[in-house]
Amino acid sequence: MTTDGTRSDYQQRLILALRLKDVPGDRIGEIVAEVESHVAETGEDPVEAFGSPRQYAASLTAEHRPDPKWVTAVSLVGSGLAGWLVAQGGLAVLLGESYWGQSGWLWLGLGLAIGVPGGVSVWRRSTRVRDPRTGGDLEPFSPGGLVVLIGSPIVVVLLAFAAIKIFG
Amino acid sequence: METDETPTEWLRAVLSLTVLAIVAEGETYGYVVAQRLQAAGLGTVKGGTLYPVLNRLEDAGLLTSSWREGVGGPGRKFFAVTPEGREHLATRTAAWHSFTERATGLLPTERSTT
Repeated sequence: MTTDGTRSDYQQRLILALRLKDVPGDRIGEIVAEVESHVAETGEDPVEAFGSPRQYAASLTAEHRPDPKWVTAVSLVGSGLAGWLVAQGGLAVLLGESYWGQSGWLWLGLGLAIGVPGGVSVWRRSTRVRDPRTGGDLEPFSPGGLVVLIGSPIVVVLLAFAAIKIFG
Repeated sequence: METDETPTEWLRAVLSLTVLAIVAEGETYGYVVAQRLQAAGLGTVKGGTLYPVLNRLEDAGLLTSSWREGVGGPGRKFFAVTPEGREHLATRTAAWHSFTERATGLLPTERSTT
């Protein structure tokens, strides 16, 4: 909604700072629209009027407790383990071999069982940042990012499979 | 936010009630509220202070808000008082007057301090 068609650096950093504080997407949209509207009206510098994006996000979420650190640690380790199991299981299935004496399907299933709940919770938290003025998205959706996220592990497994078939 | 003689915490104490009073006079938006506060001599209230106050009043059900299209610029978020907001304003205004009267009763008169 800015005049040059691109969202300013301040607004992008504010969206990120609020995302990191687990603020819901609709609420982020409201906050960012308020800043834009106020700054456009007054001609003030956003940092002057609202403080730095990190400060403003922190002041808005002072009463809200973020997830404890162990939750982040568990989800990081869980997603790493899930990815590893899916890759090993997938490769074993493709090669028709077992892995650690068990069918590849078992490891693949286990990896999905660990990874899918975490993925769903991340997806739930990443609600759209809706602009309350237009109903449009404040953050452009990037299909490229999704392709990289889902595609790259598949490519890695397929490359490993091809390498084993050719050189193995 | 601070004028020469007014400590910041005084404004902090009364900001929410004065903002509610301004919106209760008629539907309005953030920039006008800030201008009204300044014109009343309460100093410059920055956006980073004002919008959280407006949003807390809205969360408490004392105000409602709606976005309207602006002329040639981004839209404006208009705030309007709810019946609960009016009631709250009346009771808190009465409480504020009795509170300041009590405090004034304890303070020396201006003449006796000079």
